[in-house]
Amino acid sequence: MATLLAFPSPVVVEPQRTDAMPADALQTPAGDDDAWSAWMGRAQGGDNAAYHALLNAIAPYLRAIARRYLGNREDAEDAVQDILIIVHGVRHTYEPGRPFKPWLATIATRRCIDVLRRRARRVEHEVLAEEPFDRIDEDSPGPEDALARGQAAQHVRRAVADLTPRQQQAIELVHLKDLSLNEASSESRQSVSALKVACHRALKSLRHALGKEDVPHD
Amino acid sequence: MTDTRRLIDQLAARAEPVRPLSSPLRRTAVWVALATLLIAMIASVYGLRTGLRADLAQAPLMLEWIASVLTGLLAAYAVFQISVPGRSPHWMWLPLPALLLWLAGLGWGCLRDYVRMGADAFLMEAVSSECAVAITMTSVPLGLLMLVMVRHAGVVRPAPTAMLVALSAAALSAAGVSLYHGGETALMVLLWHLGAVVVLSLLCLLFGRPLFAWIGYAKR
Repeated sequence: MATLLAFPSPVVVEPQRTDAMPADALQTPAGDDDAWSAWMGRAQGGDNAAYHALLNAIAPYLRAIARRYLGNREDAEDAVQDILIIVHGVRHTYEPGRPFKPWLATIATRRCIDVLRRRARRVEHEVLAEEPFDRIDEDSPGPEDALARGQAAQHVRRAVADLTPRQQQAIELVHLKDLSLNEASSESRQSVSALKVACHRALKSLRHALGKEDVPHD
Repeated sequence: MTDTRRLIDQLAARAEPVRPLSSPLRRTAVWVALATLLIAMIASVYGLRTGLRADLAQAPLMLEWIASVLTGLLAAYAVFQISVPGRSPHWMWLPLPALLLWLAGLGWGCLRDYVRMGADAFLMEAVSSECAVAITMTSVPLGLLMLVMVRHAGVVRPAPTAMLVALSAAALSAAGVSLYHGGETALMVLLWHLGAVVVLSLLCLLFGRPLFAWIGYAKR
């Protein structure tokens, strides 16, 4: 941190305090622009006191812009500091005699938009980064388990494919979708008794194909 | 707040004198002078093409060439306007009429060639692609020079500024290439000259932000 230097007060306008943000900071009096413009002109010539007064005077204005865009007090204050550093870096681009406020507002709003853009990118990145983990079980299987499960699933699919279409439909509605026999009957347009028979035969076939322990009992 | 006050103290302590930017018109004049010098040097190495005088005596061809030069000049002026904080972003549309005039001139040339040559007017000549390479090679140093001149645009309007930089450099390069490379159909000029200008401009529009982050004052 730099040592604090004593700056003589400029004679043009009394600078505002940085810790007080007027409610109408964005509608500063027209006289401000002239004062700020004059201070900037002198600052470009190397006048430390005028530059200090200018930076102090524009801080509340920048804070109002930053809060309007970013809301969050901490982010807004960081943005104000960023904007002040940018103002310092590009102060040669201010053309003396032209209105100062549009020059400053352009820099400030662009910086706030950049912060918002970065914030959006960060959120997007976090969402993308979380997605793959959401899809992984906490006790996700190892490669051998995964292979065994894959083979078992293939086995079941083959056994189900060997059933008649009516039996497949009955199993899907009653055992997978967990519908009652009446609901399954109205959806499949099969009678309740036909569904019972189809389920019974289907389960018998599956038991035969897969072994008793793999098949749920009704 | 305390940090901000401390930062203000630090910045104020480092208020070395700076020279304000010249007016956009003066900066445009400087850049165009440098661009003209570079293009004239390249043209003198290759030598002016035969038939250039006869071509420029024809009003449509002359108009088309002037439109390409005008596109480069107006794009340069727009760059020096929109790259400065506080200037109107509407300046970026300044080169559009000249660009449309250039496009219209080339379109008219295609029709004229078709009437004169029939289907031969639309033959694709791979050798004409040399133009696009020449325009790109000339545009790169010119564009880099201009980017350095407006390196502060990174904190204002990086993408449109970069696009106009490319448009200006490429349009002037295309006008320069026309001086020592010719004999093509209007379609080939449309494809390779204007095509190179449009592609370079769009690339710079896409990569404007990283370009300024690399070359000048831009915060990511």
